[in-house]
Amino acid sequence: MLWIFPIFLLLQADVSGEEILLINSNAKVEKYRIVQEEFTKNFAMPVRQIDLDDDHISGKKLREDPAALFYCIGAKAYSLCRPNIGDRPLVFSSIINWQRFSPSSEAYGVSNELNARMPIYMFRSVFPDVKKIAVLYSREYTLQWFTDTVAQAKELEIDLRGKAVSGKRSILPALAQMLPEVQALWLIPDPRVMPEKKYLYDILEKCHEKQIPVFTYHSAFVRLGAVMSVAVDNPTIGRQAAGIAQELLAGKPPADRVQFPAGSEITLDLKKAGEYGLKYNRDALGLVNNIIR
Amino acid sequence: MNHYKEKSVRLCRFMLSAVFFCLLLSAWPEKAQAQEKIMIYFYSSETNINNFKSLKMEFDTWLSRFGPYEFQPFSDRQIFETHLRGKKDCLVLLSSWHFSKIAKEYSLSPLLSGIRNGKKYQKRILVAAAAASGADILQKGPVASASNPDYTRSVLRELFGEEITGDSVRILTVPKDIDALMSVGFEMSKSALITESTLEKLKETDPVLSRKMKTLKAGKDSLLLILAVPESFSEKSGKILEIIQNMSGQPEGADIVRMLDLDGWEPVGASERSKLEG
Repeated sequence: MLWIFPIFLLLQADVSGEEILLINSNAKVEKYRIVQEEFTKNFAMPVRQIDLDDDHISGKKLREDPAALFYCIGAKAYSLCRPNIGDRPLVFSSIINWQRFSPSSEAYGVSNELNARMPIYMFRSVFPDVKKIAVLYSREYTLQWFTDTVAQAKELEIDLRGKAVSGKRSILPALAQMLPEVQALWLIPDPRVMPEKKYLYDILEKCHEKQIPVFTYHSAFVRLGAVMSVAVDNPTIGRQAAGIAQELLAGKPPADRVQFPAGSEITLDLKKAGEYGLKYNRDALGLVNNIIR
Repeated sequence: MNHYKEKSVRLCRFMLSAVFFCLLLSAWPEKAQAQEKIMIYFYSSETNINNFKSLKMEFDTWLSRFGPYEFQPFSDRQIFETHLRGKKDCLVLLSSWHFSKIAKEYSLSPLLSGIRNGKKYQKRILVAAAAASGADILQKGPVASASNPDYTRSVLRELFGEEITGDSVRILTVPKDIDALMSVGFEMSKSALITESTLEKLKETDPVLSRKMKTLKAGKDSLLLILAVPESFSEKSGKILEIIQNMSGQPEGADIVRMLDLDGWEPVGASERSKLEG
């Protein structure tokens, strides 16, 4: 019977090798914390967790770590992990503009931006009379996105009109030029469009002066004066990442290396909509997560 | 003499005050009970309604016009059921599937059913990409669903038979039916379990995307949300039931009903009641 013992030890070693190491860039950041919680809740195997805000882990330690898969939340975790784990699989999420990292073939993840069709569908459902929407974008970051999105918007009978901004000085003149021709502004996450907070406030103020509603990608902007936001649902990102990790460990990698977030969170300021005389579709209120009156 | 008269008047006054005070004290518990809030407890297993903050705020503001009522939503089935135990003067808002599971244990009686587009019933459908084949779709990737995993598995068993066990299907829980449907369109999941009405809405708003999908299976009709009461509260629930039944007739009330993805309420009929109570 003694021969069973070494086999048992080997099996134990295999099991520990199947562990996941979750590296969070900063678990005090609410969106990162929520993603981490949902991931661990939805993942059947043991997950060791490191918070880079509290713990330090060197590249050497990561190279020696026996984890079979690494899950990185945020850009800091990804940048630390990627060069140190060899060809072991990595899952990432919650990274703004993930393309700038040119992920390797072992990296899978969930992007931080919704598929553009999702917000357009929501705008169209809640405000069916709004047909002409302006977008400020930059050639550097969002030109391709804008070109693709115009085509998608057209399929939903939305006329999306854009103006490229090149620097801080061009933002407000571009906006002033666009506002007379549209019924709403869609504010997108482009660092050239909002290089500083001041520009966000200026854009919101100019739109308010002209009674033009602002649609955006973050619920915080609704508190500042936007009428509606269609944001990513962070718990869903955690669940998606857990699913990708399970598929990778089972040897069945997903077809798409990077997925769009599958869940949306909608905030709507009905008071503001009323101020602008915007008619909203009551039947679409079931889509809205947070209503402000 | 005057002194005695004055003394007896004082005694009388004291006695009267004491009697009044005793009367006040004896009436106090009833008064307090009358002011106790009647709660409306809400949990939905069928739709992952997660606009709780707004729902509670809207419901409470609206209900406060009519009396001491309060809306209490739950996001977790177990906590909801634990909380419900032993509660007498309350209303319970839950899915028809969940009602059937717990009605006997909690002595619940169904009174109103939600309506959508004039119908009390809804159908769950499994939708996949137009090119997908039916048979092994569940093994090819996650099923997106806005319902809780227990309910999702229960419907999948209804559609595919008992081979659907705990881990044989991976479920991706999303906030809303429309998220589930779009996740098929954008290839984050292989199929989505949604209500028929969600696909209808997509056809109206985004016909191009809807053409890229097809219905693989359709489940049985089931009643929409149910408003129930513990049997002990049945007779006393008339006023609040009337308020809820009429809520879609007022703009603020109608908005709240829409937030539950309904248009209004109708009484549960005898045949529906017997189906629900199984």
